[in-house]
Amino acid sequence: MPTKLLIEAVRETMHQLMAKDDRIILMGEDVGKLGGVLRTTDGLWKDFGDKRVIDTPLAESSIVGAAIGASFNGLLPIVEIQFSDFIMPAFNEIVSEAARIRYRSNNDWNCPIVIRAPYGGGIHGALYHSQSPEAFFAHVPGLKVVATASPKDLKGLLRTAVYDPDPVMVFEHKKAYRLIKEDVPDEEYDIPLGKAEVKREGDSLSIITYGIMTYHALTAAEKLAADDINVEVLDLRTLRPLDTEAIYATVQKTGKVLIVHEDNLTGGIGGEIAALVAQHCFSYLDGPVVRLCGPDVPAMGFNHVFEGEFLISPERIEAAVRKLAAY
Amino acid sequence: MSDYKQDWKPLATPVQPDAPDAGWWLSIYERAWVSRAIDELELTKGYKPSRENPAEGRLKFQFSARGHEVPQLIAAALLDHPHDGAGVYYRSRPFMLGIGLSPFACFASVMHKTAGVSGGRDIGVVFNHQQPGGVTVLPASGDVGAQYTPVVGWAQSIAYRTSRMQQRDWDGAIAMALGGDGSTATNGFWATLNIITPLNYPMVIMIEDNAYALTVPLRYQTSGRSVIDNLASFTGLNITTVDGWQPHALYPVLRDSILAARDNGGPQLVHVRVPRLTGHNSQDSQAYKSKQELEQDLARDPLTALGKYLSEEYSVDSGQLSDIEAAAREQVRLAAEAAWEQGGEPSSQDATSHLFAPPAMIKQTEPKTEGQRVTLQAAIGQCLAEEMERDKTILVFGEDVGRSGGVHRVTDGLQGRFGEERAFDTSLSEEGIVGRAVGMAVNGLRPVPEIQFRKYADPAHEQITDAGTLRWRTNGHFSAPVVLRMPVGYQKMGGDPWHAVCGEAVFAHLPGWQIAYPSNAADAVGLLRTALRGDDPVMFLEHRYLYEHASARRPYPGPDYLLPFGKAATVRPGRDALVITWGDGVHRAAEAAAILAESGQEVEILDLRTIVPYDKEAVLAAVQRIGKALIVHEDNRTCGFGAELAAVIVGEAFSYLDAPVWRVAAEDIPVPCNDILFEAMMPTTRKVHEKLVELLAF
Ligand SMILES: Cc1ncc(C[n+]2csc(CCOP(=O)(O)OP(=O)(O)O)c2C)c(N)n1
Repeated sequence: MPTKLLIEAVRETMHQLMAKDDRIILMGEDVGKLGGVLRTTDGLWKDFGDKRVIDTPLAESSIVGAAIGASFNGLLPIVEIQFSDFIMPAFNEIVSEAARIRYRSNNDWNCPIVIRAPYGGGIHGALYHSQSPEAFFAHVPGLKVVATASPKDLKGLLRTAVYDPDPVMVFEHKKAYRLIKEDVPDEEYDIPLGKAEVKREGDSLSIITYGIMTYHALTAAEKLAADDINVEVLDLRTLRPLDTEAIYATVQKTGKVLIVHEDNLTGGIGGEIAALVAQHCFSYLDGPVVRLCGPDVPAMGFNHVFEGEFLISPERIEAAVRKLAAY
Repeated sequence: MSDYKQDWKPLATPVQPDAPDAGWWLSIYERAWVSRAIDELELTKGYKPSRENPAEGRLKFQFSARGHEVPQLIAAALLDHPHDGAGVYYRSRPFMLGIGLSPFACFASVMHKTAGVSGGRDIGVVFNHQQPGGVTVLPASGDVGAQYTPVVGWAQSIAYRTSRMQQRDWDGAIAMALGGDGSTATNGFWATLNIITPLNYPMVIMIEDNAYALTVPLRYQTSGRSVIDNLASFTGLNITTVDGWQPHALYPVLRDSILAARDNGGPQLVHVRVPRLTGHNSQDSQAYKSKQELEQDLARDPLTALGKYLSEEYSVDSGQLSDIEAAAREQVRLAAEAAWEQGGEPSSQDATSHLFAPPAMIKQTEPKTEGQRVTLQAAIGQCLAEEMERDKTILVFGEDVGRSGGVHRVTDGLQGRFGEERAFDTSLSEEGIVGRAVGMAVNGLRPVPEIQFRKYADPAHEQITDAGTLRWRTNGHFSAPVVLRMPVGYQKMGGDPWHAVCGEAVFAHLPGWQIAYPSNAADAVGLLRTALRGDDPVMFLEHRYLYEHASARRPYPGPDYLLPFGKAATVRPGRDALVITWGDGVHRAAEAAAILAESGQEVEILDLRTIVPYDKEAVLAAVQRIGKALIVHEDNRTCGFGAELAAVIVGEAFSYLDAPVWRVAAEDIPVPCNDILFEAMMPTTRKVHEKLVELLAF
């Protein structure tokens, strides 16, 4: 099986899907001739032309709005938001229109769009190129939200997202684009939305996480294994709907939970997971539910000291695990 | 040239505005070379950002302004009024050099040093600056197009100060916004045109048209030859197009536009064509431009053209011109070294500072508890009126807020009493409402905008996000104490998807905003007054059902009543179970608790009153005492603020818990209109009661 970087998986999956299905179009800033500022759409314009790979005006609300309309008309639009930080101007179109059309039309309409956005830090992107806005959308009824750093998962999830009848947000960790390499099958496959994956089995303690933090957690887990702390790592992959079954199963197995995400602590998806655990697994808990998350500041600062202070490293995960394991 | 931090003056306007002399043109030329030399130095080894080997370059990003220098510098020189305000974007460094930001500070910014404009937080070309005695550069945004509406707020503040406050020193001041051609596609740009033209604000927009938005050419942005031609029929906007490489034409256009705006001539748009001589940033090789285009760009370099103009029109000899260039390069090199050596590195503790103002000294005062009970709606209106009486900088505005007194009647009578300048109707653009409020707050006024319904804050999400981060991203140099009022929740007749949204959780996840969510008239007054005297942006959420409902009425607490943020209230003491809630949830919980009290079970109710900051101490203390907690809120359950509270409780009071932490919240659907569906969705008294019964029995 060939190994691929996340960025290759993104690009090739879109290529594969578009080659087979004319209904799929791609819209965004600089996605055409340039192939995307991060090169996620490289080659697509050449192969599919500018009717299907569309450079848009610099107005995210119009890009998403137009995609919504196109989806009503039977197309399957994929929108690329250049950086997830710039999704804010499109907020209203996403949460008021895309998310609600099925419900408020009593099932007469649906909106099969995919909004892809690179998110996350670690690339010196500072305030406007490193945010993690996924929790805003995980709160919104009618949206499905994927967040991943895994090339293998991305391929299956993106395919599912494109053919899902409802709007799906796909957050791709931008630091992972050129960092994470995995075996990715050549043939097409689906990974259902709302299914987490145990990326490492263990019985001492569970780490529940997603995106690039999954890999940091796995790194930490390897080190901890030497001291007989066997960490189970659950990669959520989808943040809405959450795979509550998998969450409860791992908590019931280990009795201790560490939730890790890069997004700000307060109001992040970790709060929801902790709340669900507190509600449904109370009697299985052998310790407090601990969250290790980005601090409540706007983003990581540009200066490396600030970025380091914000980012969660394998070492910090390891330390948090040791503390909780000792509880 | 000994001290790079001090030795840097803003450019001056020509002594003879009708015929600038050679000396003035040389000052522009000199500074353009400083800018050019910075851009070029940044791309040399040792400075150049290197993806492969980040340690090799002192920069992590490079945004060059090559080709844009001359028009920006002329504009900077013409902004000579001490109260001028400007909004800029990431390609505005020449302008910054022109208004007085030193090369040392520019380098410190891109090298993410403490001495940079954001203290190392932002990428170094997202500027903010207060030039002593000179121009204020409003905190810029990394979002294209987000610079515009705050500048409108500055323009409006000028109009307000001169006409209403009679501050004569503000006469003749203007606001100026700089933007690229691509930015004319954004909502912020259109919101701006729609506000400034009918109101004739003293504002100049300079569009630097380099024919590309990043790599996307003009033809994808607009129909026709230029973004600006299509605006020709815009009433109330004076538009001029000029080429940046024709200095003799460029200067009078900028001069006349700026003077016209100063002299009550209303909004001006200057459309300057410029070449972008380098890629969008250092990673962009411009492979998408043809050879011919690249050659044409070079042939149109405004800096070369200015040199030519100086020698042809003013007989400046080429030796002098090359001396200027050489001196600029040397000066820049020294400034870069100095910034690297002396710019300063932050400590890791600095990462979290300046999110909010230092804790205020606001002390709780005692409310009056006697007298006639007033509604929440009337209480807020009265408090606004009292505060407007006390503080002339408070302005109240929004859709239908002025003449009609607001669709919720909260601002009823304010326009009659304080006039149209202080209580006014706005255009229908929430982005415009919030953005201009930010500009007004930065200007020193106290804007109190109303969003007509919570749902309609979503179009303003970008401006709201930026307002929250403003203090942090300027390293504490600026603040934007906007008090953004909006009604939330259902009303007497029920709900629907558009008008009954609560939505506090989304705001609570945005760093930098404080959030008040009062459950009764007295708290609302105390919190609103505190908000109006604080120095942070505040979301003030007013529940529609409680606007008039008897349960939220209280005696008016008095004209001096202050209630600090972050202090929860125990509205009902108890020992058997705890409900943590806010807003309308307080009343639902109270009803449920009253039923349970009949059978001798005592439920304690904690009303958070503010969501950011929330009274964590009170929450944890009550949980530790009682051991069983239920959280009630009207916002959707998943990722609601209840999740945050449950997480904190199970994280920090785990060993005190005698039962799971449960939540009664709105189901995860939009608010339905039909009553049966509505009941099924809402956290009703019945549902709170049932869950409490379950919790008590656990
Ligand atoms: C809201 C938003 N969307 C996308 C971006 C990414 N981006 C940065 S600059 C740019 C192009 C801007 O072009 P223009 O306004 O013409 O200015 P220029 O760079 O040509 O000077 C884009 C798409 C952004 N910063 N903000």
